[in-house]
Order: sequence, then structure tokens, then C-alpha cells
Amino acid sequence: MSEIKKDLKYTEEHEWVMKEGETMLIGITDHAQDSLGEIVYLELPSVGDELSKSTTFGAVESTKSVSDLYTPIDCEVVEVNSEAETSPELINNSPYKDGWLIKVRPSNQDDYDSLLSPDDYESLINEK
Amino acid sequence: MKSTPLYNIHQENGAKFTEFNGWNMPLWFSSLEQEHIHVRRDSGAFDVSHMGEIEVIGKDAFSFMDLTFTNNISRLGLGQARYGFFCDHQGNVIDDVIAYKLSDDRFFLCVNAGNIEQVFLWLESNCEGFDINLKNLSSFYGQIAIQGPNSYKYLSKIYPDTNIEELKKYTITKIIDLDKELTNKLSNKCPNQDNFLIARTGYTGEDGFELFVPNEVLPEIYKSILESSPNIKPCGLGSRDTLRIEKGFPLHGNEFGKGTVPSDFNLNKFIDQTKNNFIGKDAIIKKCESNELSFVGFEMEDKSIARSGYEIYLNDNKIGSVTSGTFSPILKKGIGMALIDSKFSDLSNFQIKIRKNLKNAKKVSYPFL
Repeated sequence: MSEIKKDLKYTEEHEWVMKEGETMLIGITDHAQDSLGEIVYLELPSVGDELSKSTTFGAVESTKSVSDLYTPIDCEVVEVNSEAETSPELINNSPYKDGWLIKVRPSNQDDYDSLLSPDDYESLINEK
Repeated sequence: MKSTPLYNIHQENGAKFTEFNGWNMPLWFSSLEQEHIHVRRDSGAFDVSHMGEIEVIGKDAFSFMDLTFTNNISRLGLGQARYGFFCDHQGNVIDDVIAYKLSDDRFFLCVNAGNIEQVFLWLESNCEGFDINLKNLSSFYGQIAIQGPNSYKYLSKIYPDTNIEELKKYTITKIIDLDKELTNKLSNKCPNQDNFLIARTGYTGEDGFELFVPNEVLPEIYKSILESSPNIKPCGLGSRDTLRIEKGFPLHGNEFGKGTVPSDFNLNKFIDQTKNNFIGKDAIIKKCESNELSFVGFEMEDKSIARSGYEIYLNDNKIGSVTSGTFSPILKKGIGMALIDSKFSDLSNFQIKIRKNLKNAKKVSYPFL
């Protein structure tokens, strides 16, 4: 069974969002990393990039497949996880902690509330 | 979606499943990479029961195969096999097939899962005037591939009476041990009497075997193999694909697109152009002479993976596309095969469009290992 953290918000594209004061951390869920298998490459945006909701901001590639990363909310990238870029297995081993992808500053803090709750996300992955 | 009789066992073994040609098949168990490496070094078991089996039986079996199959089967001894193609009159590949000669009037064909019906209908449509019978045995036989350098040691112990070590590459024989043990248990026997067959063939580029056994007893055979030889690890279709790409083997559906002939993929040694005739021969010869396409291997210079269908560019001009690509678990980089305009066959570098960006690749020879 995939782990779903109770203190995070989620998207239908299997990303998680964590509130950290004014900024937010974004990563992919345990369910997502488990479906992809061993991740071998990671493509991330650059610091300073402005991202708009629902557009792709990068990709995670495993041997078998590639998965686009979708921006959960309008935001600006303030930091990227360069350790995960060099060691993408961090995403498999620690999707909610060491394997985070980007830190962003949201254009509108309230957008966070419209994301999926842990329960909503759980029902979403159980449907499939 | 169809599933094989091993579905429940795969589930117990922790398989992650994927849809392949209408079948729900294991993609990997614990890890694609580990399964891949284990097959290269030791031995793995693949459920390939989705593959089809068709038999051509009758007085004219040889002359029928001679007309329909691109490779030469005239010098095959009993039990020997050849890889080759069934093509239409335009030279398009209907399927790539291993044809085993079981006796002078019997050829046993192993065909791809997605093509069983098409192949059967196509063979039927060509059998007028031949004294043959076609039997689709695909629902009777399940298939297990045991692949890897140590496979023969383990299987020799499991089936001591079958003389596995002496079985030559690309030959097939009866599994005498299973024949003795299980034939009486079968509620349905194979019309050809060969209920249990083993061939020294495979799709991984390693030494290995393919077992054709009745679906009815497939679970107990599979279980007993895994239990008697714990070093034979269950493997999924994920590693089957990465293993075949590292060895440069074509896959119907990736390679052999419409409008291509098998010789476009450097597979001339499986096409006997000296044969008097075979269906598609004229078109293939014409295509060889026109030499429009080159099939090349490449490896990625940028950290990226090119996959099937990605476009290949030289200075912003599209010159071809990737037919198969993956991350090589052994070489730890992106590798693949591509079909390019033969005007550019001398190129040593090109670019591949991966999502929005052009990434650098260099031409290398294949097999990659």
C-alpha cells in the first residue's frame, strides 16, 4: 500500500504540496514513484521560472516510462532539489522528504486550499 | 483483458501488471533493473503465455512454409528452428516468427501475441492448393521462458531425463520428464501429441529456453521450477524489453512499421533471396535496391532517454525516428535503435527531440553489449 501523508495536499497528477511558511515544496507521491519504478533521470525547471497551473514543469523518467510533472498552482520557482537531479533514486527512496522536487512561491496563497485533501487523493488512487 | 493461468501466482509474487496486446501481464516484480541484471548474470523466468503457437501439418507442410516464410527451411533437421518473417506481397511484415520443424510434415510456429489472428487468417488465405492443416494451439499452450547463463544448469537438474545440456541452440525437443509425470493428468491433450516441448531459444540475448506446456498444468510447472531453483527469479515484460533492446533485437509493433520491409532493419540474413519464391520477395528485393532507409543504433550523450516514436533531427531537419529506446540497466545510459533516411547513414551524431528539447545522441553499433 502506498503511503499518503496526512499533512500534505495532493493533485490528480500524483504530486504533493507542502506548505512551508510563504513557500511551498512540491514532489511526487509514493504511489507515483511506485508506479514508475526506478527513476533514472529528472528534469526540473530553473530557479526564477514562472510556472502556471496545469502546465508541465519537468519530467521524471524511469527505465520503462516517462511522466510529465504538472504545476499544481501558479508560482515562481525559488529552489530546485539538485541532489535529486544527480541522484534520482532519492525520489524512490524518500518521495516525501529527500526526494522533493521544487520549492516555489505561490502567486496566490489561497490556491493551496483548492488542492486535494489526503482523503480525496486516497479515493482517487483507489478508483484506478 | 485476458490473463494467463499464472496470474494469481504473479500476484502472490508481488507483480506490478501492465496491459500488453490485450493481456494483463507482469511488468516487473520487485525491480525491473534487478531482474534485468539477474538474467544477464544468472537466470530468470518470464511468463510469455500470451505468445501464440500455430502448427502447419500435412504432406505439403514444407512447400507451404517455403512459400510463406522468408527464411530457408529446406536444410532444417528434425527439431531445428529458423527465425524469419511472414510478409504480405508489399513486403510488410505480418509477423516475425520462429518456425520449428517437428517432423517432415509438421512445422510449429511461435508467433507474437498481438498477431495470432492475423497470422492464422493470412496463412489460411494462402493455403489453397496445399495439402495441409492449420492448427491454432495458442489457447492450449502456455509458455515460460527461462533465460540467463545458468538456466541450463538449473533446468538440467529439474528435468534430468530430457538431456537439456545437449540441446543445441535453436532446437526443440520433448520434455520427457513432464511427459511421463503429467500426460495422464491432462484432461485435454494436444492434438499433435507433443504436450510438453522445450526449445533452446529466447529473446534476451542470453542462453536460455522456452517451454511450451499445456495451460492446464502451467501453474504447477511454473511453481515447481521456481521452488526447485530459487536462483531462477520471476521477471516481467519490462526487463524482457530492456534485455532485447540491449541486444538490438526487433519487436513487432516498434520495428516493422507499415511501408517498411524486414531488410530495412538489417535482417537480410533471415530472408533467403536465393529461394525460388516466397510471398513478398519481389517487393523486398526492390526495396533493398532502392536503399532508402538505414537502421542504426544510438546512445544518448545527454542525460535523457529516447523512446519509440521520438523524432531524429539534423540541423532542424527531421531525418528519421526512434523505433525502440530505453535506459540500459547495464550501460547506465539511454540507448536505442532508429530508422533514418539512408542519405544520412554516415552521420556520427544527431539530435533527438525529447519532449520540447533536442538532445544529443551519437550513432553506435548494436548489439550494445
